[in-house]
Amino acid sequence: MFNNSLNFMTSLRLTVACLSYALFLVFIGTISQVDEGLYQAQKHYFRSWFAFWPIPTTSFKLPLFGGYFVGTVLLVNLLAAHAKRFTFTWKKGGIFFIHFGVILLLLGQLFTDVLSKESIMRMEKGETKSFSENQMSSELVFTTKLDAVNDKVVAIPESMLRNDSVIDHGDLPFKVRIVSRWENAKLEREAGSNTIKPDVNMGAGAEIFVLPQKAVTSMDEVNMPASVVELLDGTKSLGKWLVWSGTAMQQKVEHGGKEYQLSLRFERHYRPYSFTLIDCKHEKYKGTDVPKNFASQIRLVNSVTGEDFERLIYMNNPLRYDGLTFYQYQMNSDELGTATSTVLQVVRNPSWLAPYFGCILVGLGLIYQFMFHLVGFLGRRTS
Amino acid sequence: MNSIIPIVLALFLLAGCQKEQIRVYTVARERKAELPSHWQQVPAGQMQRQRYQIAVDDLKAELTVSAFPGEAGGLLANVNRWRAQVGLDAVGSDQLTGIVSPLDSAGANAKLVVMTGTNAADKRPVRVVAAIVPRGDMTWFFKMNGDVALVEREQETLLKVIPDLR
Repeated sequence: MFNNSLNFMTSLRLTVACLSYALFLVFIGTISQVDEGLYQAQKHYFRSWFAFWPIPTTSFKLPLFGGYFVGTVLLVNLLAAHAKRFTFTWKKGGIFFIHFGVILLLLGQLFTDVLSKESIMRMEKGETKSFSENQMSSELVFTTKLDAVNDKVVAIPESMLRNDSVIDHGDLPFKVRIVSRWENAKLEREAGSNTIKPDVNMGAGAEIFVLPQKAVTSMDEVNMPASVVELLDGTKSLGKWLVWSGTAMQQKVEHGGKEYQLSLRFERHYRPYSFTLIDCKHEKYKGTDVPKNFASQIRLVNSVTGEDFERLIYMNNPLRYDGLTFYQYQMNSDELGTATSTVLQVVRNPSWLAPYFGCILVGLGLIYQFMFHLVGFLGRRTS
Repeated sequence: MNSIIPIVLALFLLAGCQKEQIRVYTVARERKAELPSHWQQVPAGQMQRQRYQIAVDDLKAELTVSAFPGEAGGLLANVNRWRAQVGLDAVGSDQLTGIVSPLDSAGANAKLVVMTGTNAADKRPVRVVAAIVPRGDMTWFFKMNGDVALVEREQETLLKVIPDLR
């Protein structure tokens, strides 16, 4: 069976099959962006091992191998075929480099997808922040005072917030049951034709109506999820709260002599340093609304390393710090057109150099292979 | 078919590595300058980062926040500039005692400058309370000036909020 597997994985037919399948997957992923939006479609078909494609006009979902699956098989195929068939000679030295470059490109893309994290940092002029947010994902958060200056946070990721799921965690003195959940919703004070009265008996949501919204797919829009959360002491209900990511408001929960702040918010990533937005500029080409330049003057204070400096971040001039890249992303202005707040995109991509090295290796390999043959040809011609 | 099974099983194992976990962490409680409601923020002028107008009854004062690289002219030059603004004569560096005092609560090497003079326009007595706070490579200036009674009253609040004011 091992030999069969080895033969299968080193087969050139498998290479062709994977490349053909990748074309098909790219086509499916591209047309699905119409309904799912760019981010969701990429996540669904390319950043996954397996996917289900809902065939248009039918209720049938076709099971598919996702991008990770195809990429991994292709990578293993390339490595195995190389190990089995390739024997290094100076004549084929360039091909070795080309293969290694392609492997690095494939691995780099896989690591970028798996390891890279994107979030944003939104700051008003003068505001200081030490966290960025991922607006594509939310988290249910319980915050409690740890000491005079610190808070302890227990953050439950969105993927665990499914209807009727019960979350039991050692750092929480109660269980958390998700009674209901809306992927995108608005809150209303008055009942309307499409509003829902949530099953809530505690907190600020007891008088509120939920207006479910269609999940957004555009990259310019953001889903505002809402949930009804029930806290349980054993089997005894402590109450049901409505939480919504569209508000910074926290709701108080008292249990066992301790006070917890409950909220649903965009997933936060805290850093051991803070950014302060000193100033921001939004320049446009004269007489038009076409942006010419966005620029943010920020102050970075790192109490751990003692660093304290100011930098100007503007389009195509990001700040690279602590393994992260801070890009100028968006700018908000008041009615007079004066920039009042900025949005920085925060990207962690540990493998950002891999494509550069991959391309250099492929390029060197091509040059070597071409020159080897050219020199040989010229030598023969001279003789 | 047998050849594919171990490969598919291996990929299933890889797929299981992506499950998200509950995160438990400690963060410093967010500190925000808690400013009194009668401190009204107004658009900042040139070279200023923030500006507040303070009014109680018929008393008025203003707070400006600005920051400049390095020492921003030095202590003596700034003291004499502010003295000139309130109609006082310039002093020498040996006369700073009594006008300048340390302000350790705002940070290392922070200084507090207090002076009383007259408003050039209406000749009313005015007071200047200014904090000079080095932060990294920058020097921050928190300058409150206005009617003597009001500035005296608001001085304590100002000194309390300076660490959180940017």
